Amino acid sequence: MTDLEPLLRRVLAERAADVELQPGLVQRVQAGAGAGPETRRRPGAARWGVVALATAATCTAVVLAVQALTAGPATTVPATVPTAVTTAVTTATVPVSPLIEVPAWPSPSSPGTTTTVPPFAPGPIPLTPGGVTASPDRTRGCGTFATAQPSTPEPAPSPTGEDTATRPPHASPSASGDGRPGDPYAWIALSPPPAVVATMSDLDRVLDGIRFGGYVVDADGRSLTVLVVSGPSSTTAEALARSCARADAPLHVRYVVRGRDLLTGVEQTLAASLPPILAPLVAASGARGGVPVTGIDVGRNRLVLYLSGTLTAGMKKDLWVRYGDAVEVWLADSRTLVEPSPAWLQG
Amino acid sequence: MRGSDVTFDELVRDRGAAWLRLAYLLTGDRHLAEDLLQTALVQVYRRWSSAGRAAEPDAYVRRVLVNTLITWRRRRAWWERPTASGALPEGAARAGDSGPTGAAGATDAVDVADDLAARDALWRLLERLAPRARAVLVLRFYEDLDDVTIAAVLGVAPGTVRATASRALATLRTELAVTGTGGAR
Repeated sequence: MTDLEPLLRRVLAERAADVELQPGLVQRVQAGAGAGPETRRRPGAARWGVVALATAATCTAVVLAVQALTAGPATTVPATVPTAVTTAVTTATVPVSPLIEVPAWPSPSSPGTTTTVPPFAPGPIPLTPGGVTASPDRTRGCGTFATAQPSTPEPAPSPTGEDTATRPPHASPSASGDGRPGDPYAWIALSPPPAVVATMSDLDRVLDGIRFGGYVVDADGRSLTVLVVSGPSSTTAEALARSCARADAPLHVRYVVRGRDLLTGVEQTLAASLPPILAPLVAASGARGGVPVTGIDVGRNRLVLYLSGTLTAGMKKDLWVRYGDAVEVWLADSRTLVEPSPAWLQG
Repeated sequence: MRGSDVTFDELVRDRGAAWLRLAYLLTGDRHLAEDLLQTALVQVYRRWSSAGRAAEPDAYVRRVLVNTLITWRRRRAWWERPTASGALPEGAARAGDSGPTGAAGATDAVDVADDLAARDALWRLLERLAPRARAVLVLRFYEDLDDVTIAAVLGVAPGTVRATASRALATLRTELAVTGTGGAR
């Protein structure tokens, strides 16, 4: 019978005696500690100050995000603009036409963004009789909004892109061939009904830039046309768009081929302003799906023409007289840029 | 040795071996002991600006060592470590095989073998104790610390230390009696 405690002391001493410290422990500890010993502990007040600052910043960001989501329609723009076609409506600094077009190919040295002005006065959006009770999203659409209006989608445009039945997106009333040429600011007088404005706000939240080419207010100012990009998901996209329709804001759907339809409208609009002598030279850009490219580089306030053939002396003179140095010509055959020159005036 | 008088390197050089022995007794595994000591010293090193000013840096390191072990025990399965086989320890086998020729020599050899077996069994039983109970026994019977100091190291009340030690010793006695190797009282 052995006393346990002495035995325990003996066992512990024996076992401990077998252990030897390997050299390099300090180096291993310092390597494990990484940057070295902590030289000064941060005061508690400073720690809590950092926490409070981070919390305040987070709260501010959340509040701003909520305000941005619940704010009224600040702007109304197409859900997307193809990267190759930057088109928008503007009210200033463009003397020729409210249409703005920046060709993507050949690429002039122009900025890739354009300014946009909403075609209606901003302000609170009155609720329609149906009421807006939920925020729409891009997955479920506008949900329980007013019943969609029956609207027959227009057929897809012809392969040539010669679809002139509907005013192209982003085109102002004056540019749509409605008999009021030369007054790009006439649309400012248009004030869509509140229901249309509310629907536009809903569309802004619902439409994505992949399945939609944007939307436009129809000529009567009381209905909207949503441009659905033709493709595998166009049917779903149409249903999504129609869910935003209201009883007093009919919504039509038009299928478009991205890029081509937009440029078609631009070409048609500018064609009237081009010198007749240039009309035969308006070329079709292969990069644009065979669509003639003309437009205005809003960043430099220049008229951009994409022409085939060679500019004759008469053409150059006509261009200089009409546009001065506010024009540039891309030649389709040589893909070269022709800058205007006072020498053009000599003929 | 006050912390303000010694650098971290000097302290480790002076006390490192003792800490490693303590870590080994706490863990029962040499490699695990090295890991435990290194982990604990890394923590101490990062706080050396305050730890070095402690009145007893050695006690501070000991406390970190024990608490790190208990933290390990909470975080992972301590029992995953393989235990020794049931074979007799080498020392016992050699003692039994040494072959004393006389009757007295045979009796002495049996006593030595029983003693070795008891110590080995006790070591194995120590490994099966909970880390806190094992730490109490190691600090009391190896480091010769009083209950108050042990309580300070573990961060518990002295009464808890006494109760833990009492229960651990009772467990060891019971287990040794069951195995028939100790007969400890």
